[in-house]
Amino acid sequence: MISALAPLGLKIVAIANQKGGVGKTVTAATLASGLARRGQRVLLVDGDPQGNLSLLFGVEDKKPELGALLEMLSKDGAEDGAGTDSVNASMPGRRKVNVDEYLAKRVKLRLDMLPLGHRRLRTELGDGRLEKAEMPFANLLQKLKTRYDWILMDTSPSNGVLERLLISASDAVLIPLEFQVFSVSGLEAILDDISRCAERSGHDIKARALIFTKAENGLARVDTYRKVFSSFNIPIFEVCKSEYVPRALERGRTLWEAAPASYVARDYTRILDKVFLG
Amino acid sequence: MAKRPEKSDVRERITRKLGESAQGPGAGYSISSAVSEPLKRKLRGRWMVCEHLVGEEAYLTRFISRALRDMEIEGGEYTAEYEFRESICLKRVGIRATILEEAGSPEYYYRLRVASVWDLEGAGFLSIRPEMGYQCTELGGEPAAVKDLDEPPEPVIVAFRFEGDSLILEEGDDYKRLERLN
Repeated sequence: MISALAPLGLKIVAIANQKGGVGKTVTAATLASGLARRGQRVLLVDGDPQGNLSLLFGVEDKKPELGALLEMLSKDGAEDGAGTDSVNASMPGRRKVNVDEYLAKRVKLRLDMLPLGHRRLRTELGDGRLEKAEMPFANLLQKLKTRYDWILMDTSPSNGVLERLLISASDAVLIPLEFQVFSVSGLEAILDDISRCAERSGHDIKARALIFTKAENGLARVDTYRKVFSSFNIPIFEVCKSEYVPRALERGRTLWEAAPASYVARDYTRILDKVFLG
Repeated sequence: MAKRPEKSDVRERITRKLGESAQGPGAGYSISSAVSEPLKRKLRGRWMVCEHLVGEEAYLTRFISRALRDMEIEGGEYTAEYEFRESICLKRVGIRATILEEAGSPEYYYRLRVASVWDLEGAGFLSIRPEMGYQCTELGGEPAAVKDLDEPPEPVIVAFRFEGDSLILEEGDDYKRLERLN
C-alpha cells in the first residue's frame, strides 16, 4: 500500500533529479495545476535557473522572484515572514521579509507561483548567500503551510547549493526518471543528495515516488527496466510519452486544460490520487 | 584501473537506500494508462480454462486425490471460467465425478464462485483481490457442504501473458491456459 503525503502532513514536495531532460518541469507544472483543479491551494516554486516553469506560466519577466527572496533571506537580521498573522510579528531590530511581495498570485485558479525572476541566480547570489538563505527559506516554507495545501518545487538538473537549499526545505521528494541506462546511477546520486540534505536539515526527507516520464512500450529493454525497478520498495509510476504535453505547453496551457482525458492525464491523475491525496 | 561496479551492486545499494527511505514492500508499480488500457481491453470478457496444471500434474487429478481421497472415483470433469469485467473478475469452477460405493454411485459436484477486484500490477502481472464468494459440494444432487469466503484475503499477484489467442495465467507452479469464450 502507498502512504499518501496528505495524511502524513508532507506538503512541501520537491521534484528533483540531477539528470536533465527527465521531465521535472512538466511534472511539477502538471501536478501543481492538477492539485489546484482538485480544489487544493498550491504554491509552485520555480527553482530551476533555466526558468522554464516561469515561462510556462507567463511570469518569467515579473519583478517578484525567488532570487530576490533568497537574497533578502540571506541578509543578516532578516526574519522570514509568511504574511499571516501568526508569523508577521517581527522581533524588534529585525527586518521582516514579506513573502507576498515575491509571489505571483493566481497564475491559475488556486495556484500561486514563486517565479525564478532571473536566470543568473547562482552567479548573482553566489554559494555563500544561498547557504545563508537555506535555513530561513526552509522556515518560511514551513510557515506557508498554513496558507497552502501544497508547495511544489521544480529544481534544476544539478547538485549545487541551490538544489540543496530546495531539497532541504522539502518534506518529500518525487524523482522523475527516464527508461534509459543512466537512470539507475542517476537515482543513486539523487538518493545520496536527499540523504545528505536530510542530515543537514535535521528533518526527515524521503523520496516518496519514482516517476518514469516519456514511457513508451516499444522502447528497448523496457520490460527489463520494469522488472529491475519494481523490485525497489518505492511506489513507481509511468507517465506515457505524449504529443499532448508539448502541444499544451507551446500554447501556454496545462495538460488539464488541453487534454484532460488523455492517457498522459490519466497517468498524472493516478499520481495525484495515490501519492498526494490518498 | 578502478573496477567497474557490478549492476547487481548498484541495485543492492539503491534497494538499501530506498529501504531506509521509502514505503516498505508492496509499494507497487503503476504502468502507464497507454499500456494498461489496451491490455485491460484485451483481457476483458469471458475466458475458459483449457489447460490447468499444478506442477506437472493436471489440476483435476490433484483435486480428486486431495478432496476425494480414499474414494473410488469414476470419470471426472473440470470446467473453469474467468470473466474479466471493468474492475471485477468472476471466477466459476465446477468439478464433477461419480463416487463408486456399494450402496450406489452418487454424483459428486463441487462448485466455486468468487468475485474479485482486479487490476494490472506492472506490465505482466494481475493483482486479484477476492471480495466475496463461496464453495459448495453436492452429493447425489443434495447439498453436502457450503462455505462462504472467509475474510477477504490479501491480493494475489498472478503473472499473465498472451500466446496467440490464448491467455496464460501463472501463479507459482499453477499454470492455466485459457481461451476466449466471447
